[in-house]
Amino acid sequence: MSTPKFKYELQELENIIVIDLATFVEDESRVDDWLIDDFKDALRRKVEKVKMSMQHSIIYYKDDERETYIQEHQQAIIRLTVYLNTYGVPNPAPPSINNSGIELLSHYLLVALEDLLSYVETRYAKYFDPDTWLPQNYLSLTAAGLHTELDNLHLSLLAIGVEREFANIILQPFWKFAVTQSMSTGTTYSQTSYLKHLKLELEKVIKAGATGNVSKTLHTLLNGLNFNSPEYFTYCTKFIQQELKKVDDNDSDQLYVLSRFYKYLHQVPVQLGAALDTSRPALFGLLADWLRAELEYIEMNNLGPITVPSVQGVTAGFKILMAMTITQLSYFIHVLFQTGAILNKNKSMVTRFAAVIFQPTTQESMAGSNVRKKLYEKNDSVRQAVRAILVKCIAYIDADTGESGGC
Amino acid sequence: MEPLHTSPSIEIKRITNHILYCNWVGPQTPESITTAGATIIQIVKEGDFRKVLNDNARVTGPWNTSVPYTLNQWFPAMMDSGLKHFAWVYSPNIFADLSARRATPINNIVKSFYDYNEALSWLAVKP
Repeated sequence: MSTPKFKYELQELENIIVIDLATFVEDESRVDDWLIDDFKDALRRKVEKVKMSMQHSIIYYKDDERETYIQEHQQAIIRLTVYLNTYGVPNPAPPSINNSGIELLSHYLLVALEDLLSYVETRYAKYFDPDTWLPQNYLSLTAAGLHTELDNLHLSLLAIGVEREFANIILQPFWKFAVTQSMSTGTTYSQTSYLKHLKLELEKVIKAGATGNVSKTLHTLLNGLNFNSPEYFTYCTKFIQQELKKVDDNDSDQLYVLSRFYKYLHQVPVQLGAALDTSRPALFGLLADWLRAELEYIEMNNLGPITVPSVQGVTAGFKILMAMTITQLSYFIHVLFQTGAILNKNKSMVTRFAAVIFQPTTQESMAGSNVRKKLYEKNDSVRQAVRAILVKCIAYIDADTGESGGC
Repeated sequence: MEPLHTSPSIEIKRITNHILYCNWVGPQTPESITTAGATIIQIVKEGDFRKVLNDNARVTGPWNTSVPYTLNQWFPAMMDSGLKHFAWVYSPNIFADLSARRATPINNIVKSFYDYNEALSWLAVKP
């Protein structure tokens, strides 16, 4: 089971699992309380020694070798975890007349291996393979660990003022994992790691207590971790709808409320690669689409057409022809907003007005909703095109300034 | 080395005039330990051995039930019989190792090792 190329740091633990436990069974040995305590201490020392050795060894390897070194050890830990099944299902129950204690010894070894796996994942995340398949006994241990703490976690969330429905939605994946020991799409290390990480973050929020806006803190946490359960998505949309109802019949205010959520959603940093359920779309995308649909609905159906006052000498329906595409025009308006050149608060109204008075070079629809939608569609080519137009403007002003003898 | 006693659980040999070698083998029971323990005490007393190299390298499994006997009865009896230095080579088996650690008295007479040669070198320079 050892790895030939690199220093194998797990040899002592492997000897215990493969040789010593086998002899224990063969000799029909039994454990007692103090042996268990000493065994736990010894395992703790050995695990610390492995961690130190890994920390020491890795500095001698090049970057590509480090990845292999870490992943070989990661696989070795998983192999040893599977090997423990040779001695029955690891079980924290104390020894009895019918139980020599071998399952208890296996249990403590499993805990030690889990500790090492977490260490490798945390310390060497760059080289860790998060899609590693996990054996059932490891999952059982993780599930048991989570299960014992769920009630406390639930009560603690309620105690800091989280409403019951929200607390239930947050803890639902934990309950599900604790019962079925799997999530919806098989179980890899990254998935169990997600729940462990979320639990730690929830504990931090709980520790901070009911200070500040706990609900907002939790939403930021869940959005940042891409907590993409259907129940949470529904909860969020329901919450936004309630906020919309508070400003009922006031379309501008409703647009403001939606824009506020849209802005918030875009400003929450999402942890790269994080997902509660990797088989489902990202929470950010789902909420962004939902908000956009709401914005467009209000704009298209609830707001009347903008009437342009007739100007003497100007033909009705006259439009200013812009040498820009609709996307470039939208971005141009966005830039004017962001730089303070346009002072209007109601972005929606401005974009709809722009749709009436400007005509882009292409045959795209100039519906207000389309212009507004394009406000959020930015890419490098659009930026470059708008930049080129602005640079051209500045070059003209510079040349004009030179000709008129200005500064 | 001159063989002095052999049983399924232990081989006892003379290394030098004052160094006795006790090589414990396999799983140990309370009976095997008390029987072999009594034999060692007798050999130490009769042979004027002041130094013992107690080798557990081939011991397998726990023998924790005999720890109180070893610590409270056997070691005092060995010292009464003339023991001055005791080099104890622990087993690579974790259960035997933990049992031995529990049974090791804290004094200047006993020192633990994981290597036979190191243990012998330590004993060799002792008076």
